[in-house]
Amino acid sequence: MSLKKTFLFLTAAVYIAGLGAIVYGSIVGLRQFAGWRRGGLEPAPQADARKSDAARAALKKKFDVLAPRGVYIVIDTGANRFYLKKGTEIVRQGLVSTGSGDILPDPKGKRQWVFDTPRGEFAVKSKVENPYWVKPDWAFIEEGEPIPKNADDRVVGGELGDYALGFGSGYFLHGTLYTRLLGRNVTHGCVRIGDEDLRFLFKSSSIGTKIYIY
Amino acid sequence: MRRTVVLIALALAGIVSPGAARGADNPGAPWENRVADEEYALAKGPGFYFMMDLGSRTIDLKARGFILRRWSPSRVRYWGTPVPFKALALAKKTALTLPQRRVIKPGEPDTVSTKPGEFELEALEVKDMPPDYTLELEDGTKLFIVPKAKGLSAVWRDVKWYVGLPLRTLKLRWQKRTMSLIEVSFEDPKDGQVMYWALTEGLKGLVWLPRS
Repeated sequence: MSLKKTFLFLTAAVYIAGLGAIVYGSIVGLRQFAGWRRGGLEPAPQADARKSDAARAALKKKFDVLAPRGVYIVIDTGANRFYLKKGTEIVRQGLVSTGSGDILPDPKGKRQWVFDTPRGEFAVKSKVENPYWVKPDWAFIEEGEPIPKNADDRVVGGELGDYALGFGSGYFLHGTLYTRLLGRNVTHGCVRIGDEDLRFLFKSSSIGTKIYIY
Repeated sequence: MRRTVVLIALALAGIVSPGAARGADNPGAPWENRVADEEYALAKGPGFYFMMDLGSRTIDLKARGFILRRWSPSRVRYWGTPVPFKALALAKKTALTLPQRRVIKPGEPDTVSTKPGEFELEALEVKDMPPDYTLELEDGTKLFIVPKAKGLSAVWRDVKWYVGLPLRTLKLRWQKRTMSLIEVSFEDPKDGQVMYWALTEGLKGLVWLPRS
């Protein structure tokens, strides 16, 4: 056989083998595809319509018990928005500022702070009017200032707005002087809200009101 | 003879493997109840969870049975062994470029001035999240989250899916291994970025295709 014919023969053989592999792999894939159509489960036993409807009604009741009662607050840390909701209805919505995600290491020690707004299900644990801020160590370290020995030197008024709603571990929904930064990830973990929205949230919620942050 | 061989080869080349997903229009009450049963087990806890319906192409982040955020991808396709119908945790998020947190240097400002009166914020935001990444569930199922491709990129992606995956299936079969892959495409890359932000490692959820 000439060199040209040998080359053509080998090329054709490789081509056909490759196509054959794709076809065989596709057949295997088709059979697995059938498994997806079964939902990955054994086929459900035949059930009559009445039993299914009764089961569905019972499940719906169970879900209804789980849903938050009354108003609840949802914070979207990605879009920096809040939603005050009742059931599926949005009562009020607006811009917030949430955690920057920055890391502050303590130059003198092994401590480190990560400025994330915590995510999950929380509840309003405290309601404060005219809150003052007791600056934690990181607030001084971040500014390059010495940490005061006197506790009174940590107290700052007027920075947290007119109201604060605490939801645990030192985190609050509170007001802000930096309203132009609402809608951005700029805080040290707390959620900053504009004055009018915060007043509405404060008046609408009570101790135990659920807060969902994602 | 030559013409016959060429025609046969072209015909074989025209075979593409399935993988596109559309669920049944009417899943049927028993299946709805099974999904609700599994979901209730997730919903009764305080944590968030996700629900991925391959049939209706929706991905929901939920808490206590209600939706916090919904994503509607433009396309979902899947390949390989079906994902088991049970709560699976999101084990890992991987991407070519991962978002980096800024490390604050004491005394430095958190903004960078670009022009007078303007500033660039140095913080981790949704726009810093990758639009193209992989979510791996605890059972090894991989979800490829990608922006919708256009033109030659779309062709290349289809070639990798419809030609590459059958070959990979063959190779894994030889090795007595299996794989489960799901590709989720978003029309707007920002939707993928938002999902990367919202779905955290450790989050549990369900993936299912309504039964036909």
